[in-house]
Amino acid sequence: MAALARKATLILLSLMILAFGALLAACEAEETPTSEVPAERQELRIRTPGEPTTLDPQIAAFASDINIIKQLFRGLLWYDQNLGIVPAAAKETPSKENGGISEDGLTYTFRLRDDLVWSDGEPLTASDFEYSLKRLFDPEVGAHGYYYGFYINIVGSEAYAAGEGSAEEVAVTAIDDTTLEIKLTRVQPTLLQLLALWPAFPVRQDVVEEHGDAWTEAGNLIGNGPFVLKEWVHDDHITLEANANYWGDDKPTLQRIVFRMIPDESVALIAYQNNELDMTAIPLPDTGRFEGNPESLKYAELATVALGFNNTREPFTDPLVRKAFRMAVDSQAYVDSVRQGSGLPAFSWIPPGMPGYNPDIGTDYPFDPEGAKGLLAQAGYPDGEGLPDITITIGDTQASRLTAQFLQEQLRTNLGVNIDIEVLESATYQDRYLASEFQFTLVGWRADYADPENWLPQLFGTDAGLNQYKYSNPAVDDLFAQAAVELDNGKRLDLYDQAQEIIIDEDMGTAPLYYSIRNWLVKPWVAGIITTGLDSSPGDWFYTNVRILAH
Amino acid sequence: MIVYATRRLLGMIPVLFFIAVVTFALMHAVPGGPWDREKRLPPQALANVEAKYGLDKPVFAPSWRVWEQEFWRELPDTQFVNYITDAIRGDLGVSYRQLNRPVADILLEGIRISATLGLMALVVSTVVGMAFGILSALRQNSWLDYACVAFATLGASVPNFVLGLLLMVLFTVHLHWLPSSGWTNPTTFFFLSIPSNWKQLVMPLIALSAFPTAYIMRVVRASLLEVLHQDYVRTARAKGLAEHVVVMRHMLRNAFIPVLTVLGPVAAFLVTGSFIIEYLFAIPGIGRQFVYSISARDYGVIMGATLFYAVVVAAANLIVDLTYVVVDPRIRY
Amino acid sequence: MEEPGEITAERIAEVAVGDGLPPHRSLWTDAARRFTRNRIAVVSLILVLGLVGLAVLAPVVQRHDYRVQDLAHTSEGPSGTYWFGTDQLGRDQWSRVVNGARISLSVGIVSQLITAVIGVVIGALAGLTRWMDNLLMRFTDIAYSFPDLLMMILLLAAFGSGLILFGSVPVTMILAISLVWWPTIARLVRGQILSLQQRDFTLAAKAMGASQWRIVWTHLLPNTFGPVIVTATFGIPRAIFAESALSFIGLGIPPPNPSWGTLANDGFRFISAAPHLVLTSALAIAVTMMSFTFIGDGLRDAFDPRAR
Repeated sequence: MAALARKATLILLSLMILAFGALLAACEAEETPTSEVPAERQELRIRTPGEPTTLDPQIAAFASDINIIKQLFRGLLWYDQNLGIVPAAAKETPSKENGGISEDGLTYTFRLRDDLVWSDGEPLTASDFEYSLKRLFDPEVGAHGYYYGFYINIVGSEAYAAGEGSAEEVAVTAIDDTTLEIKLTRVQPTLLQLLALWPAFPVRQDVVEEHGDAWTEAGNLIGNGPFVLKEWVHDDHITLEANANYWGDDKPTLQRIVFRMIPDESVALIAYQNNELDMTAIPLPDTGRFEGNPESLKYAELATVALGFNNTREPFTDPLVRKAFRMAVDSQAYVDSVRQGSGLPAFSWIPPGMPGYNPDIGTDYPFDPEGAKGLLAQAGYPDGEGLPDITITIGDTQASRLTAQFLQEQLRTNLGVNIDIEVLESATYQDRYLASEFQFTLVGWRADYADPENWLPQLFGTDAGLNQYKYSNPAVDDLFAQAAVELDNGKRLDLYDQAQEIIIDEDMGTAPLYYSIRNWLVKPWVAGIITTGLDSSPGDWFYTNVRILAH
Repeated sequence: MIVYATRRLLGMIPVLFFIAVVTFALMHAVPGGPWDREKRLPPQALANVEAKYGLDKPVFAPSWRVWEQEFWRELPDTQFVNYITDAIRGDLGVSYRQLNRPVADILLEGIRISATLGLMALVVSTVVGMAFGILSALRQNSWLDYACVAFATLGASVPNFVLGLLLMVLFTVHLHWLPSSGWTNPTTFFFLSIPSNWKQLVMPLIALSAFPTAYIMRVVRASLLEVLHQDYVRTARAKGLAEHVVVMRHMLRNAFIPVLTVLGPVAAFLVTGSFIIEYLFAIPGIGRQFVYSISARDYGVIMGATLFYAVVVAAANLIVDLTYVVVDPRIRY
Repeated sequence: MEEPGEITAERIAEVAVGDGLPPHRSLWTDAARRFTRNRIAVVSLILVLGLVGLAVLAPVVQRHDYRVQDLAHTSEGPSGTYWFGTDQLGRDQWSRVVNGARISLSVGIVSQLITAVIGVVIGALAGLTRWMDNLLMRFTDIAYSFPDLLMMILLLAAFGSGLILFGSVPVTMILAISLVWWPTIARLVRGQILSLQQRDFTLAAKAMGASQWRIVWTHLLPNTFGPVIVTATFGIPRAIFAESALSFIGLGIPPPNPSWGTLANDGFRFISAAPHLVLTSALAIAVTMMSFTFIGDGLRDAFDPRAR
């Protein structure tokens, strides 16, 4: 009887092993022949991680939401594939030469195109833009979002957002149907870039007023972009259809875009392999498997991950300690072995591809365990003696756990310093992080727009809103103040460069670890993807250029 | 029995109230709030949004002086009181995660879907579990018995996220038989929600039923074995009754009682949805919503879902207790 | 003069006075005897003891320190140096599984111990007086109706999952699991006590003047231990499972400590790229689960007074 039992278990075990073997053996990628002929069904299927928080441009904050919003609306300006500014709803980009920008740089005048219409055929005028931009500062609407602060130099905006002013006092005025005037309290060299972003997209006043919070539902939402919101089945998918009334020069070839909501990225990969999706991100564990795959799409993401020190807590008050920590970490090994090649080791904060990138910054502190130990000794902690307990506090994502464990081991073997890892539930972590209640953590940043202004002042200015690492250096603050009003772009970039040099080379206020890259798979029948560093999802500034080939 | 049932139903009300209090307190005691996401809201913005949703009011009780003075004139304006008064009127508030979408909508949609999947899984696990259980009990200690037990326990021994992904790799990636995920274009059939593509049901059903099937199988087997040795079974056999009559008429009815005990919690567990299954298979059920809402500190959904869960558990237990009366004539209330 | 087998008055008296039942044995020796006759249960017990042994001897049995990251050999399959292969960070999977046994088994066993104690105490108290019963059962009902997951998540969010004692006992994780599951045992114990209170031996004890307290403590409680032990034994693998589910949500044991749940969670996305990671951790959980299940079955059969 016992023998029979053993037999049965053996049979079952071997079945299990066979099943696994079958999984390992089979091949996955199938080559589907594609021609250059456009397909009958021009439909692009993409994954979005979940239900959008909102599709309201003045409130939206998450990349996945913005991905969709960018198809439904067009603002005054847009980006080209090199991240230069081109006109969209405006006839031309304002400049000093064409009178769009006043001499003192405080007044911007936009001349709109004559053919602007909403997707239902109603004309789109400058007063729509006036309404939308003012809405951005409405204490009930945009002013509880994240991005209105970008535009706070518009006269009257700050007071309105604080609840002290009124919409009338905000200096965004529709002079006539095709002319919009914006006045600033002080010069802002990056305003044009910012006006190409989603918080400046126009929305329909009567629709918003009629439907209130439900105005973004399918059937209610009216936009002026190349696509309309055809269907929104909550928690399942969103369907966009080409806008028959689209006025732009870049009319879409696609008839439909479907955003399927799939929370798990490994499942998304499986859906892609089953031809349920046309594009998907390659999850980190599968990076090696798809290396060299003809469907792979890799490009720089304009994002950096770094070691975040709380500069006001021991031992990170001492720049020598911070530098020692950086030098003890082998970011090349991290990228090559742990991330299987996905990414680039980082030494400067601003990544390559961004204006203001300087490859020399941070290179004085390469991976050098001996040098690191030396610096630590210099700081007064020979062999790590005398160091207080160090804890790295992270949120509960897979990526953070991985990086934190890597760092812990690097510091232990290369520097002889033992740190603890504290994993907090995500909302708890956010809470602690935002209050700067941490000693050591992981930080990251991704570009909102292509300018060092987005990477430095709000993150490293003394008491700046996003400066949770409590970094403070008056010399840097000074450079920021100068750059904020410097209209000469070359000089401005130079000022930011000097600032970055101080932040990293002198102070190591934060220690960059790696630059992330996008690693995606795209089906061979998807043509015309144009990627930029500011994508929320690859190619999403230019879905109008995408076409599906017959397959 | 009607009296008993009514008494139990009424007894649920104070339980629900107490659960509401505890959940509310815990929710607000835990650090973090609905607006603490990646970037910090400027203080003015935070103040604006809290005012909009009433989050700046005191949680339970206003300051003592106000309490003493005005309690008899009107209910205190606190978050908890407002929640209860609104809830009684049917207004469960709005979600913060899916901005401004009514909580009741979110719950209803999620409950429909989880209930559908859960009920199907309940049927599958009960049928399959009982079949295997009966089979292995009747052929006790044979290789068939061991095989059934081993197979069922094996299926339930692998964490269900592993099982789920395994199924997907096998059936979707390699065989291309089943779609990976989703619950597309569901039709509402009475209270249930059925996706238009039935193939989307298969893998979640298997993954969800694995554990309950094994559990039920073992309970059935154990209780049948107990019954098998009873005198009355021996008597029935001695009388010359056919085996299947013995099994069906005499053994099963008695063996079913312990199974009922288990069915209650199993049903409650299935109907309230499994976060892991719903997350992996992109099924918008209440299990998933619940966990999302906890991370997002989406207070309205947390409260609604918790109360729903409590009602389901209480109802399941009540139904089980009432069914005892039908099955076991010795029990009277 | 007596002959062997001869029917004498003494022998008749001897037989008549006895009760005709098999010689008296205590519940425990009886149960132990029956248990040892169940082959599968015994094999499972040996397996479990083996696993516990591995866990205890982990620092000796592991071939490399579970924290050391061999970055030149990440995500590699089993080999001579690394019996179970390596994980994403180049750590020895064999070593992580063996050390993971410590945490997972302690979560399983300790949490059930605590659950059993709390449940028994509350169930016993409920059996003492009517109003105590009402009060405690209301309380138990409330705890029972509370969503498990919510409770665990909130507890872990409030206190963090970080506190680890004695190198491998994750305190908050264990408390989170036990504080949520005690109602089942409480109800079980209370149910048993209530039904046993109707039995002859209880009524006899009452008639002899024993206090309610003494009745519960000496007579009723010991009879509940059987079902409690069985439930707790089944609860051990459930607790290990719960730990892996919590890991999936992100509330598991803090890194770099391995537990089977963490390993399953770290490895399951590598199911196509590096299946050995999932295979090893899932196998460990499965074997433990099956073993405890068979042990539980065996215990239940052993404690069943009607089985012969």
